[in-house]
Amino acid sequence: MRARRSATLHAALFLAPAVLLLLIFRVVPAVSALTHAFTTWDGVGAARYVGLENFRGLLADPIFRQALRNNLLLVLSVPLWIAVSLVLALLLHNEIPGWRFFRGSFFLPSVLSPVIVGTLFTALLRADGPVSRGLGAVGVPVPEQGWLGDPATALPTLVLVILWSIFGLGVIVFLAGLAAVPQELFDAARVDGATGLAHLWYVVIPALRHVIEFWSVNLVVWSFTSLFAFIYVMTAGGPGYATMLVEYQIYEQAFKFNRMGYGCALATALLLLVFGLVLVQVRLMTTDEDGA
Amino acid sequence: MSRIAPVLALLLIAVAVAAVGCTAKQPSPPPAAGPASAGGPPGQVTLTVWDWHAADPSKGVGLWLANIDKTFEAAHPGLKINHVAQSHTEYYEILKTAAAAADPQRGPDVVMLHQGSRVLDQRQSLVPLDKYVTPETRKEIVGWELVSDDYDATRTPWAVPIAVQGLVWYYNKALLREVGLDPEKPPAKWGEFLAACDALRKAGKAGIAVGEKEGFWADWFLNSAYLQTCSAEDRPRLRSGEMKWTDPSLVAVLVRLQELADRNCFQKGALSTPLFPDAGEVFMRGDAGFFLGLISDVAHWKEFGDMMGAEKVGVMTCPVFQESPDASKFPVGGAFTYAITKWSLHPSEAFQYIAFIAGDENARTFLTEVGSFPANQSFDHSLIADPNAQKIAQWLAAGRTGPQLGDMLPAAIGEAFRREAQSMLAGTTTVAGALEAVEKAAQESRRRGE
Amino acid sequence: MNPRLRQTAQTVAIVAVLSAVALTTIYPLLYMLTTALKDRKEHLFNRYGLPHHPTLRNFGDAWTYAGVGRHLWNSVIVSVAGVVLSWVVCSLAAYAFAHLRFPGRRALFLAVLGAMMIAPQVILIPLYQLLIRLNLVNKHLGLVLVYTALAVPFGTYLLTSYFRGVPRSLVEAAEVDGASHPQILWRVMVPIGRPALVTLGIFNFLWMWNELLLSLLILQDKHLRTLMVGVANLRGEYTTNIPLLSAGLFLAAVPVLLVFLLFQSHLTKGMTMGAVK
Repeated sequence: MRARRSATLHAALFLAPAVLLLLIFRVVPAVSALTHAFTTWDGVGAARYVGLENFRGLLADPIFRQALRNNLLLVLSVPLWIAVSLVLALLLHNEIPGWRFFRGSFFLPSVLSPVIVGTLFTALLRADGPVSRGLGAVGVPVPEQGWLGDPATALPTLVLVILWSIFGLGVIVFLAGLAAVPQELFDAARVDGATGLAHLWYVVIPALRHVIEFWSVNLVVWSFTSLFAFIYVMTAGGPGYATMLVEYQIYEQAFKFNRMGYGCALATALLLLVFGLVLVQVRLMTTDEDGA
Repeated sequence: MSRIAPVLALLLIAVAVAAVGCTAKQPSPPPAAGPASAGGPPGQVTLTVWDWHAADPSKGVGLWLANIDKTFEAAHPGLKINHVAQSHTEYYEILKTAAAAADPQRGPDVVMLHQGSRVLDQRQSLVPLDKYVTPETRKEIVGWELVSDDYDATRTPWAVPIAVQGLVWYYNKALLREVGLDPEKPPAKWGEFLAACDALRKAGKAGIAVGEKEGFWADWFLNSAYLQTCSAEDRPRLRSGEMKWTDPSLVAVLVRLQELADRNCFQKGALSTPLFPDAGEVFMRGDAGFFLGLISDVAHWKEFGDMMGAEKVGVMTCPVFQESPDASKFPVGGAFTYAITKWSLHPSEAFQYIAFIAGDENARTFLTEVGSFPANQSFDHSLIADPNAQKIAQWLAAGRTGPQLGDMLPAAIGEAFRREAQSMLAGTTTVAGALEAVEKAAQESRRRGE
Repeated sequence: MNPRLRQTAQTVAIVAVLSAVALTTIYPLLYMLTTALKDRKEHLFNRYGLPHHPTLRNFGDAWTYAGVGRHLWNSVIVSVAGVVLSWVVCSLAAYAFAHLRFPGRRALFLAVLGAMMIAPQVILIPLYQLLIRLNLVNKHLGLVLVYTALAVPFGTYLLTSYFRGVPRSLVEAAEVDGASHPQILWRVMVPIGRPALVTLGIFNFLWMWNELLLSLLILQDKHLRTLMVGVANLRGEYTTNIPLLSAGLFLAAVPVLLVFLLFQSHLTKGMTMGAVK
């Protein structure tokens, strides 16, 4: 009994700084934003209460539907991002010659701010740029309008650029996770003759379960809330609405069109959606090991 | 434990750095933070000015502003200018948050704004300037209709135009000569223009250097061409909703835009080419014969003159496909202005500063040193060396201008048009489909009272 | 096939694949560097090739126009303080989530996670007004606190994940030895979790260094501003000088690169071995 109470007390103390920070700098402003979702507000003057009108509008909004569709397509590509980082981490984990150099080079893109990445690739992906010329030289059909200018290729291209930007981070995360896995596990498996895919599936993935779950949840959330800078620099949601994402739509509605109330409604919808998705994801992936 | 020691040492250093940083002394008394009359010699007033041009005080507009500040401070001993350079792309976000706070200690006194809906959108945070602007000033400066209530130059102005910006068509004289056209008589009619583009294409060049990646070019084309199909009376009708976006006068413009695309007048990959600087560079490299460009700042006569040689460059207005009284005019708008914030403690000093910037002497240096057109038209035309700039100056003086349509629209409608036009050019929607979508956006915007 | 030969062939294949990937990461940066070495006029006609007349002028210009000297120090202060504070706050919280049993733990954890999903665009205005009321605008501390608050969900999640992987037996052993919770955290969790802490530190340093919007908003005085803000101003209203911009962006990226190069050796495997024994 005393141990339990002491644990709770300690927990409270240990959690206080984090919780306080979150409350003050994220929750309080978020609540303010949430209440404004039920208003019409230009961000400066007085807000006018309009009930559920913003949400009704949201459901009927074709731009929102397109943005949502694009976001969900992005989420579907997350397993690919995980697979790429995981495979590369495994290859590096065995410390083949030059592994440190490779690790460093994979990390390079993550060092760059999205502004830099976006500016770079906008130039490289032009219809007459090196990517098109290189691919054209080996016979790959190249969109005439450029990779980011053709509505059919814009979104996949954007996804690939984003993948380029963060796969290195995933490699680092998985490497750190692999570092914490006892070497015996790998050695034993190798002795048993487990190689290649079997090794991957039956040994590595279970051992890294927590890390994989963590990283995939992070990626999903990230794909809904942190791609703004990329879109802003590379496509601004275009051509047309081909690369419109909900996050960008919030910015556009709130800051370009001065529809803060509607922007808040979109953000609320986004929050609920992401939270729901994460809950589902976590439930699917975790086994509750504490029995709590 | 020894493994921890280096980490511990690092941590200690980091904490020390952090402690030093977090307790760093505040700029005492913040003449840098606000119009603090507290601090500094008694009676000193500090004006905080926000804009996106001051970032580089070594050349161009930045240098011009830096000199203005120095001269102004010298002439007004009790006044100090605190010029804060903001990044252009996040400018309005920063501005809106400052407006929401409306704090005299922190927020700016004077703000730079783009002409048009940007100014009118911010009215709640600005001081109306009708009691400051004299009739004399009104006559000297052009562009009042894009900073006043209802886009009516006779009503209350909310900002003072400093520069003039507009859209004109440039052409490469050498290229025209190459394909057998007279460089002094560029194609003024639409049919001739299309033929010229065909000829250029056959010679291995592009007709027009287009940057449609952000959707601006279609926007610019609309601004440039709508003057032929929409009369001065039509414009308020479009704004009020009486005239719909599906009206034949607008259909006519989009049909021509589609025609340009269908006839392959653009360079390859126009849809993924940014307007700045890439499209301009296509033109400067001599890879395209025509370019729809600006009259001030960049992508204009000065830049092309410097890079290509002024004798190679010519300027004209939009090729005409529908004769009308305004058909030979070019659109102006989108230039920068200065306004006074509502919460400023020193509005009259602020206006003194703005009036100084807009004054005759600075207008002259704006033209000669920066190479852009000032809104103050009292400068001497003989100061202009560049032949293309001279032509433009004559057009301005002759009133051969109309307001930019894009500047008079709420942001949502402008954005809808840009995206629909992009989709149209990419082939995913039609002229009719695009305009219907824009009309819907316009109706939504009106419903919200924007 | 001879197993040794197969091993070598395998290694060669792996190195080939990794090299191909490394090429895609290095080429764009090389492109940025070569662009920075050209002057505007050369860039006009030679956009993708190597510079014929390389010049270092753009770096010098970028240093001046972006005020790199001044802003660099501010970026260091803000990023380092943010990283350190995040370490402290997140470690404490992660310890609680990973090894303390208390009512509502799961719910609180999900709540902390939930905070990650609030789109920053929308809280911008209420956040700014809040900071004014707390007198934290135009102070490094204000930005550092906001950054830390932003770092908490991810950091706590990351560290909880790793701390949970520490065998209970270790913790219990320390408890039996009479260690208090803070001591357990410091003596058991932190050493074992070092790769995670380093990883988190790098992550946080990265995005705090590159962060633009909040820094622009909160630090308004010229002499308080961070590097990315200075570099962003190189873009201007119309981006016309790509080589200059490239040089500025390059300068902005160098410090983060250095940080990684310095600390990447900590991401080694086998650190846990000592602790387990």
